[in-house]
Amino acid sequence: MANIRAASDIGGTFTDLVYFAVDEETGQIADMKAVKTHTTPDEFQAGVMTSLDVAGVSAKDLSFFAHGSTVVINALTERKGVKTGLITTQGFRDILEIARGNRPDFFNLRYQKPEAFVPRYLRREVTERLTHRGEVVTPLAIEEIEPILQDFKAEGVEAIAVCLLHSYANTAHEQQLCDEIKRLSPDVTMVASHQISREWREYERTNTAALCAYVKPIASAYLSEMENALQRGGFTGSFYVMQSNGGIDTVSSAKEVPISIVESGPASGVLGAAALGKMLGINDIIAFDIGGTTAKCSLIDGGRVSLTNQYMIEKDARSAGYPIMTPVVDIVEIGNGGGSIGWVDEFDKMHVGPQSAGAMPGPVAYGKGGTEPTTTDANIMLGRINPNYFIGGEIKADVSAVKLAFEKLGSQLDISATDAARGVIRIANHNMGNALKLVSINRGYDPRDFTMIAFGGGGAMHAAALAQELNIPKVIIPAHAAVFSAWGMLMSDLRRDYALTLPLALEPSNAAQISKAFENIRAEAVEAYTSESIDFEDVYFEQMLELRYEGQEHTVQVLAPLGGIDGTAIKDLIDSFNDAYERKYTYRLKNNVELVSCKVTAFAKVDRPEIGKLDASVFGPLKAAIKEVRGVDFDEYGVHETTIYQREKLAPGTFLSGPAVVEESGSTIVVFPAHTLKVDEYGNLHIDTTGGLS
Amino acid sequence: MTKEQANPITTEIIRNAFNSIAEDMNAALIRSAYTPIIYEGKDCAVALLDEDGEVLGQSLGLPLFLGNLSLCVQIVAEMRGWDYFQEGDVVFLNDSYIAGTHLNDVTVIVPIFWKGKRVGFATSRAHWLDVGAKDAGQSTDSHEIYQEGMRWAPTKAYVGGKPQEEILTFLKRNSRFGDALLGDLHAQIAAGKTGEQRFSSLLDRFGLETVLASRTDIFRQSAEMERETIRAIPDGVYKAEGALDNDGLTEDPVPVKLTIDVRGDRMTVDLTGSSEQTRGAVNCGETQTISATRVAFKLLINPRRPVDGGTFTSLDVMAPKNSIFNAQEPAACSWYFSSLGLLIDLFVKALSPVMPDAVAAAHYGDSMVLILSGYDKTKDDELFVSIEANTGGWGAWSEGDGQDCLINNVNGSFRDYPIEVYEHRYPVRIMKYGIREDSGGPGKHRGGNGSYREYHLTNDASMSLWFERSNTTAWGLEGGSAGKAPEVRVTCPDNTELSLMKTNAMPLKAGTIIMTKTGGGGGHGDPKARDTDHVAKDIKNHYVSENFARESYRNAE
Repeated sequence: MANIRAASDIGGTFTDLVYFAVDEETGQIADMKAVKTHTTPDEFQAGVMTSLDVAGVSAKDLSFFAHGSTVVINALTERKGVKTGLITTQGFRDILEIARGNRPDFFNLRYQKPEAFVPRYLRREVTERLTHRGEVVTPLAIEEIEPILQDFKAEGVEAIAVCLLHSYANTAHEQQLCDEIKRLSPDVTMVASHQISREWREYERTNTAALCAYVKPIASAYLSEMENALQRGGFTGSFYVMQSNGGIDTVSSAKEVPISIVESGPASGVLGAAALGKMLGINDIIAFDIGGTTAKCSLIDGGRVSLTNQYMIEKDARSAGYPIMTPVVDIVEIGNGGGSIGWVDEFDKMHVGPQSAGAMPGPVAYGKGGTEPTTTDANIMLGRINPNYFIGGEIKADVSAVKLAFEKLGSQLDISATDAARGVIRIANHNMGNALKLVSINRGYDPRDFTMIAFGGGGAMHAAALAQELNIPKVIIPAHAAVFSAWGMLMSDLRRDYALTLPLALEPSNAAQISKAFENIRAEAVEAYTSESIDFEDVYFEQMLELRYEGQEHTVQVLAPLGGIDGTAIKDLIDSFNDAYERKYTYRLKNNVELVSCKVTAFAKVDRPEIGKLDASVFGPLKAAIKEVRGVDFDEYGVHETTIYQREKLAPGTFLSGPAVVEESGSTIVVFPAHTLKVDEYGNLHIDTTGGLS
Repeated sequence: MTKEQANPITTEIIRNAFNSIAEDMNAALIRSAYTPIIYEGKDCAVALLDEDGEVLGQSLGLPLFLGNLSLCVQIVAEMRGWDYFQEGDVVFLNDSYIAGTHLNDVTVIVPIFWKGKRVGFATSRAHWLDVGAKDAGQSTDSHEIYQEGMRWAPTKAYVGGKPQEEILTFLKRNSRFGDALLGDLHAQIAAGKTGEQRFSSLLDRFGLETVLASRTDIFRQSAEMERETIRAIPDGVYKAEGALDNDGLTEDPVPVKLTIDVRGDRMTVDLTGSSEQTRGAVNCGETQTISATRVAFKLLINPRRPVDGGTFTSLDVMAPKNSIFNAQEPAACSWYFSSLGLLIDLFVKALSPVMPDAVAAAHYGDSMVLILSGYDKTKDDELFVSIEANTGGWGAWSEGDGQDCLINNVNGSFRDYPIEVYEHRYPVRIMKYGIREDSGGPGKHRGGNGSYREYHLTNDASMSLWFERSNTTAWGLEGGSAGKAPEVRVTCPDNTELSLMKTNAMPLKAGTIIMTKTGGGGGHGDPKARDTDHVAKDIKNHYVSENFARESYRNAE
């Protein structure tokens, strides 16, 4: 078996494969390569196998294979899960449907709630009751389960979710219920809420369990087929699945609780940014990813990826959406990407997105019948994208159609085609800039302290302008920007996040109880890992506390020491809480501090070779990298005759001043006048935006 | 970019910026607020205003506060002059006859200065849990405003950036929850500071002139749009009337009467004929009546367009002095919103003959409030006060059924309080929470069902209740029937039972069970025309019982 490590990421349009062989002598990565193939929507695993074929990599040569897929989010948004039943505490079967009762679309007399994933007749109750401290008020009436299961069977239920009130505080009743279901129906698919979350809020936890059960048979079958396909190819290495929390996990764990991979694609991009930062010694990062239909950003503080437990799907200004209470990388996503359409509404206002031209018909420039101009078309109109090297030369852009489309758009507002194209980019940039502010300024961070790492098909085109707007001094366009999510998986350790709601006053007298809670979670994590033959030595931890002022609701996370927690540690934690609180909310109070939950992240090291540096001597002179000189419109910074470079030919150490454009297959890097660009020893491009534009 | 004033692209970017600044302010307020009424109930609002106090951008937790902050700033300026607002000041007020709402709603105004010039205001309003009323939280039997808590004319909590410690101490000492009160005040100040910073950076980016030119353009567009929509409504006089059950002190219904006069591109809403101000606390100040009428207006006139200084320019509101809608000192105002919720429903009803594609049947109608307070034995007799609004059924419309269990029209972003969190906080156990079968009004399209919630007291507590709309229940439209009325039943430990809708600070023993049921929404269209599959589905899911279906729908099995 050769030692090849590969990661594959399935997106809506493309399936990316990144792989490298490890040089047996140096232990370094010999040659990193990437392959992009079209996604095959009905047979993801076939697409993955095809991409291995295209790359000429045999499954039997793989020692490590990590995989990210949209299978769970697709099954949810397309409602392609299975018929699901729900079992709750007596008196609470409607929690799932009432949701939180809110009506976000205020001025809509005809507002409709998002429909529950489990209809009322498949939501059943069992007699049992716990207090908020987990004490039993009413024991579980285990005999009530059998008739429920019979009804479920008669109705054709294929998966069962269980969520009991206060099960975060005591899992015993949920456990007993699961054991009994397993005894009576050994083959039924089942999910209990405590397997996913030990945090309070019954609606959110119930909905998470219901959604997880709804997709579980689909996700398990998919992952099994993927395993089988690899095995048929002779695969004997380790197979990992990318999760939403910014780490990978074993396939068996993902099959058990597949909701944990709901946002795996975007998460791996953020993880890639963190990994690249680590390689380059940069810890404070804003990861920024522009794809075809959306732009996503996330903040990395001190090397740590930020997570949220308030992830929602299908939520917008008009709909309450569905909460999923599983740790997800905290990403702000907006409906502006390369394919987003520029349009004028009935109030004569120009918008960009959220509608996207998608892959079909695609931007006007594709010449596949699109007539509505997109962000990509605007970049062509302004000369930023080379019409003759569009998608790496695959297509020759239909420039006259693009012009026509912008003339039409401009005429609605009495402006020229060029101004309409500039307008589309300004509005798109404004929308993206807002998303970037949400993850930075609004959370009390100063963008001047951060480096932006921009990737995805459109990241490099907009990054420098946005960075300048937000005073972010430096932008890095990674060497594998277009397949960065897959690259991120190759750089990942195993990661599992545990949280336990434990409302207590944060005071020295409670130190022992908090210490004990952490210890228990760590022990649970070690046991889970070692039961899957992962070496105890490879497991390492990070601990956080969610704290707030007594009586308040929203919490602020504070890093907790790994050793035991004593009275002194509590005092330090209170200090760090006050600091963090003030940074976030601009003021601090003298009030008591309260603990809400203990969080533990358990990592398991995956051994990883180092990435080798590029050898500058194999590159030609800078002149050889020049493709052409053409007029490029930099909007308010003027139209300039601009030198166009080919990225692959830029040697490490190269230094350029803007205006310049660097082209590579699938991506264009725009360097504004007064910005400068440097190529580092790994081939990453560093753009300095502090050149004093105004 | 500064050269292109009122360029449509720049205008659009600035318009988006106004709204996102307001959203950021709202996020700052909700995240750092202390009271569940703010962070879950979303009983709050923020607005970014220009130098004349007109709305640039707003973000509401409570729709009922629509446009109210703008009116407040303008009234304060009228009282004290615009120069009252100096750099670094923080002004607060809650006077019901200025702000229009009850004393628990506190308005905070942060003037924004840029390059030494006053360019706007970052304002917010939030419900403070306790402002020193005669009972913890709120009383349901107050009959003059002095019983409802401290009443503040515009007062500076900060002067030139310096906290007025004497004022802050005074506030803290006069509330049962002084720490929470100061926490909420700081949350509102944080929202104001956020607005100030973001607006200043917008001005840094585009310059004052460009921003003002865009503003003027935005206001003009909104006003034009609005006139166009009103012109499309046939000229005429449209009327509707209903009544609140009572004012909380007597058994007499409180009539609400509304006449809408549409003429050309203007609309006038006249409330003449509505009740004189009452002894009980269902009164409000004129400002809040204008806001509520704006909510009603917005439901039917361009609901999708964001609100700005050009919105509502074609709407006039006439609220007779000394009526419940323009109450004068010393009228009690604690439950001001019940009259306003009815006003909004009646507005829709009045216009339903001429706007059939925009309207819906009536909804369950009020916030349905339960207050429990007492001293928690498990926490060293610590004082607790829980205030909850309840969801109910909404009205059906020409194309669809009304929604089950949704918050009422004066609320919006409200979220019910999670039971698992509630039980940590209060010595009460919630044993049931569900959809109230058969409560929605039958119709070709069925009215939504109300909800029920059952509380078991594990500690002595006093209960205040404010349940409404049992007389004027949610009416149907086009032959649809009305929804069921709300109900509250209390079962004491000695098994005595009582049914009631309103009460103030009733002492209850541990072991008491309180069952609250909210009303359903009205149906739309003849019930006999309802699709048999829909009837069958409702029966299978127990939204409708077999018996009730048999009585109401001919086609039921």
